[in-house]
Amino acid sequence: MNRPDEKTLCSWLEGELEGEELRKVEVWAEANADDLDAEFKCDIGWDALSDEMMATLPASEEPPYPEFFNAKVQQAIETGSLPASAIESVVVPAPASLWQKLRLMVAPAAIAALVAFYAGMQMRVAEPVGSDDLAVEQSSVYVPHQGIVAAVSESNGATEIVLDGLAPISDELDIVAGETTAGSSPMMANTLEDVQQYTFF
Amino acid sequence: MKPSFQIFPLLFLTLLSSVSSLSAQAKANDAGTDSVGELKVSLIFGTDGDVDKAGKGLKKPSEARLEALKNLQSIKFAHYRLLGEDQQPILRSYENWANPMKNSKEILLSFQPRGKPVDDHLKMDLEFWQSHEKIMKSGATLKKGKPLFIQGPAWRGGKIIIAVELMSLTDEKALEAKKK
Repeated sequence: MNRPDEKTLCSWLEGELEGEELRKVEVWAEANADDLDAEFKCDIGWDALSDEMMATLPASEEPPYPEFFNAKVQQAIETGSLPASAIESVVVPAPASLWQKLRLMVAPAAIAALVAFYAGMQMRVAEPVGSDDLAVEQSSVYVPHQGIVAAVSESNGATEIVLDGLAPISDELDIVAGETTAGSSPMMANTLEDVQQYTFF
Repeated sequence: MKPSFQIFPLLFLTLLSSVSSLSAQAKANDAGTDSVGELKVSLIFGTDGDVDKAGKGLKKPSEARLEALKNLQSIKFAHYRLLGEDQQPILRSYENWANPMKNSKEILLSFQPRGKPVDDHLKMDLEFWQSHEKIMKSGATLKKGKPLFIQGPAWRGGKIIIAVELMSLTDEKALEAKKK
């Protein structure tokens, strides 16, 4: 086939040819591929297409599963299907493991814990001033009956506990004369005097 | 009565005597009954009204005690009378009782140390009893020269005040040396 005219070649490059005309131009293009760019000065030549493809594709791409990939490469080497020299260029470095990442994080955390421990050893809880001098603390006073309130106050010379809500002693009861409300005494027989009373001879 | 039966009462009395002697010996050897100090409990009547309502012929508290009463912040009355007082040993590990009114058991105080004395302090369990009922329990730390005043129930236009004072503490080392 003779050289197609310029219009036909441009239409072919644009993908606009069909049928018999397309087949004839392709047969001619295969026979004269090297001269196409130079002869017709068309921007879309074989070299341009190659450059465009190289620009589009990334220079390198990590496989999705490096460990698996490396294991398969190692397996191929061991079975002899891949030369050992190829491993260095093929093996993909595995990403840092979780423990390796944690090791980097643990170091500053350990230092911070050490500093906190030292600070804790140096600090002491502030005690209320004069707490050792308290003869009675409010919390140590227990009043089992409801309605009775104990108020504790402290001074240098004495401690005071004021009990409010107590049932009054009847004015009729002459405690000075030795009278007591009816009932059994809670006093236990464990005083020294009582102990001596139980000695028969 | 046959002579053999006449010996039974003598045997019984001898046995009883031995048992009581052993019991007394065991008590004497019980270190828990050692006195570690003395506690004085005074019952004082305080009133702003007629002080004679408590009873005629009652004594005023001592000058030192009156001075201490006048310096109190919460317990304040115009007149005071001493109703009674009792001084009892503080037993090392047993409860003891103070009965300031002697014949009346209307107001009582039981006390027991919580541990060994530290310097001139002794921590104690103090229980205030009124009309055979426990009214208050307190873990007080008593110190010589620093009394504890408890304002108790109303009576005859005034209040009953219980003064608790640590009078002495026994030297533990001297006590141990005496035992040896």
